[in-house]
Amino acid sequence: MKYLILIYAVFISSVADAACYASYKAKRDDPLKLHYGVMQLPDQQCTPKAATQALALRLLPHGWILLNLLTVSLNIPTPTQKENAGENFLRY
Amino acid sequence: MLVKISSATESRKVTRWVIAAGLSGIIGLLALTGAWLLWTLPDANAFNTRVEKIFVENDSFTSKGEIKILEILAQSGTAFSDALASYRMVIFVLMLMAAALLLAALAFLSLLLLLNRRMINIEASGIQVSSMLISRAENLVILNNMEFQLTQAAIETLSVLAEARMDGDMLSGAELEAVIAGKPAADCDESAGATRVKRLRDSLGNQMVSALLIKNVARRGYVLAIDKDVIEMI
Repeated sequence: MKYLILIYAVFISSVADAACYASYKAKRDDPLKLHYGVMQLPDQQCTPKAATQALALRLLPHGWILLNLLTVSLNIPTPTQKENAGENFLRY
Repeated sequence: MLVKISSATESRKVTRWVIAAGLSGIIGLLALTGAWLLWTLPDANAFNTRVEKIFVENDSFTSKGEIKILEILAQSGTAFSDALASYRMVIFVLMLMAAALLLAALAFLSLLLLLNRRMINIEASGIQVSSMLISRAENLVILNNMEFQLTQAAIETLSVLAEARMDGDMLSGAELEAVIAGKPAADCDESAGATRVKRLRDSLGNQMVSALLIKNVARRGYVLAIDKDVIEMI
């Protein structure tokens, strides 16, 4: 049981360490489409600057233009964020 | 001493230049205004950028419903901008028509001024002959639309003078007499030609003055054919 908790704790912390979550706003032109989404990034890109670049690069092939970065953090996204992002939660 | 002379043709040239410059200036101004009008009217994307700005500036606008509303707002804005584009077309066409009318009005105004000036000149110069028709068969000369009956000799003289005028020549009395009498000019007398001219002047002048100035109304008498306001005594 102790081991289990330890393993779980290690697993949780390792997940938290390995992933960084960025929430962002993006758009598509003609006709104007807007979207709010959450993306998972490698944790070396967990600074606002690096995250912005990574997000823009990842969205561009799908025709989305990054408008701005809202949050970037190592924490798992809140249920509200997940609900708002909807289908755009970890989609790209 | 040199006297500065301004001829009629010179002033006409200046007037023409002023008219051309004025018209092109107006056209230029209108073109500039048109370009400015087209340039400053909001383009189709103005609404989209505004909506996008609202979306970016408000971090809390992240729920699905809010995003959907913003998208609908942008779409209705785009629909309105389509209507605006057609308005712009209508405005532009109306402006073109107004400009054309304005130019036409200006052109007519300047034309009227020119005509007016010419009328004044004509009025001042007395009679201006715009057409002269000589009928030798009927001994008749028609100046503008006034008919004058002349004698055979006077018509002959007038015809010779008219022919010389058409050739751009000037005739001396002797030459005139030579042409009419069919003799070499050396054999002709200068005074003979002068007499012919004098007779022509007398006959034609008399008839012209009676037609233009001193009219004879049958069985009533004589009257000056002028406006009574223009008479002045000194």
